Amino acid sequence: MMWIAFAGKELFRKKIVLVASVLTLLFVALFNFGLYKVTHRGHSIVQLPFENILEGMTMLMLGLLFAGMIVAFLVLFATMGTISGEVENGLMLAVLARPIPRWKLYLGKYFGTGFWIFLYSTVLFLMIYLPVHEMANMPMQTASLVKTWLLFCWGPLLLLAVSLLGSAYLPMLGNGVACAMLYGLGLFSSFAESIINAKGGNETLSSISLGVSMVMPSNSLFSRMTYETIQGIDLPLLPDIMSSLGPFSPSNVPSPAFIGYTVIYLIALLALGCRAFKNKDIA
Amino acid sequence: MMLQTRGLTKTYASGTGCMDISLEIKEGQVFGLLGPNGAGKSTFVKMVIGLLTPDAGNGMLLGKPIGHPDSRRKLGYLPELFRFQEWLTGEEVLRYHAGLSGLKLSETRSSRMASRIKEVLRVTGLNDRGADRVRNYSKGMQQRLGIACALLMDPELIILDEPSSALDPVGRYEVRQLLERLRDEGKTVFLNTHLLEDVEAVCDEVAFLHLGKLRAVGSMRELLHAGTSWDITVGGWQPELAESVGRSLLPGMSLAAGIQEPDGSAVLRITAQNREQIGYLNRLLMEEGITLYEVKPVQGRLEEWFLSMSSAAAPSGAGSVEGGLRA
Repeated sequence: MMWIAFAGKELFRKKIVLVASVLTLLFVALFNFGLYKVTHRGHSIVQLPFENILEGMTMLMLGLLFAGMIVAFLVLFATMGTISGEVENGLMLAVLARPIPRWKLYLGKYFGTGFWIFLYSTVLFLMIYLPVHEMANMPMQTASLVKTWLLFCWGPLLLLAVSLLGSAYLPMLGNGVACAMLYGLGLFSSFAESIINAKGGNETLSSISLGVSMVMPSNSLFSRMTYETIQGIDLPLLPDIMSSLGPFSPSNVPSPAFIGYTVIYLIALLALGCRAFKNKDIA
Repeated sequence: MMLQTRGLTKTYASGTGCMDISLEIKEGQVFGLLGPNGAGKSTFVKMVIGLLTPDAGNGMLLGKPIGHPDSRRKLGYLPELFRFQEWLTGEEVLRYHAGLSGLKLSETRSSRMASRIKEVLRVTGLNDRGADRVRNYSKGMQQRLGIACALLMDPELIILDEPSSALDPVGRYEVRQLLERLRDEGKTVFLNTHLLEDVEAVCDEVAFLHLGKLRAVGSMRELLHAGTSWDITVGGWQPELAESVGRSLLPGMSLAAGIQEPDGSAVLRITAQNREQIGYLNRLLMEEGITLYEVKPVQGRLEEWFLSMSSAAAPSGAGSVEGGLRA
């Protein structure tokens, strides 16, 4: 509880919440405007069956992709100096003189910040999903909705663990650059793979993409999220929309085993971070 | 024993750090660690606290191996170049540190903790600024908050790394008074400072570190008062008395007349081995009909000792003498 309260105070008092809220509202307003325009435009001849659902699905994926990027950048900027930054500016000196094991402090920081990131991700998810559900009349099974929501929140929590681990090794700025580039690489390789796969595929690119997603699985989680969303659309006689979403079409849907891997990956990241922080000299 | 180190060593890639430091600090002692910049004092302190992992050696802090979290349970520490979370208020910083010390969130917000926080803020002169954000604190106020933080959990051992830096003369005076109060309360204090007057005023024992090595360790009396000087202001002095008084001095004592006024007032510079010899001189002067107005240690003698220790060529490996120069 102390860590949640402390992380909350930090996020509020550093005005991170204020800035993120204002920009989030702007983003959501723009998204809703675009969604309204797409779902309420006049159809010239006749509307294709499930056209609204397809458009809603595309908008939902577009919205969740950019929402995921917003959360990712929030995570990176808020946590890139969690360890190294606090060591550099002398904050850690008094803190580590207290009788608290370093691993507890490290995990406290992770779960404290993670709680607020999870909360923010949930709010953002609902702000994207609910308008699509209403305007595009997109029915969705509860189980799939929950899976989609959890996958949406899982990505930032993984990124938080990567960023925290990086901050135990790299200086603040270096860690921020490294994590942002890794995240960008993950996005790029996954979308590049989707586009190339649509034209027959490339084995080398698929291998590279797999390698990148092992280190930064955020976009693979997005693919799985897209898959779960499509699976959850509660309508009979729905055409195959798996390949109708352009770049959002999940070409290589990660298996449940991969999701299991991300859980183990997160635990490994936290364990490595605790170890690195324990052995770090606070000069 | 509050702190005991054996051959504690930490060397950086640049070759600096500290080597083979063995020290013992007993309960109730006020211990001063002296040395010029870059001597390795802070490196030593950080190893003791557990911020740095020693390359060699070991130690016990409050009965636990150094580096173990439990060794810091009854420890208060003021780092040298530190900062607090500027987005917290002074009181919140203290509550946060109470939480880091093992108290539950509800306990950090209890009335008992609130009164303890009020107490340490009062002691450090921040009683009316506890609700202000740290970002609005001056450097001196942050230093005071650091001291408050070190005292918060009523520690048995208090390690203060340059406690008076960033403080104005009034603040320095108050810190010295605080140190004297802690000493009187029987607290064990480890003081790492450049302010020699603080050391002189409060320390029982000192150690001198230079180029990463321990050069001297012992009581203040042994290290500084052996063969040191006093200025004695007298009345009724006649220049010819210098010879007669000088003949009666004990071995190891010397007298030199300094300022001499026509009205008979004078300042005599006495070198003596100990305070008892000063008492003996007092009797001699009384017998000669001299009025004694003031006896005071020659200012800067610690400074002189410090400078002489710093400039002394000190080859290592020739053994050590407790209470004297390690060379």
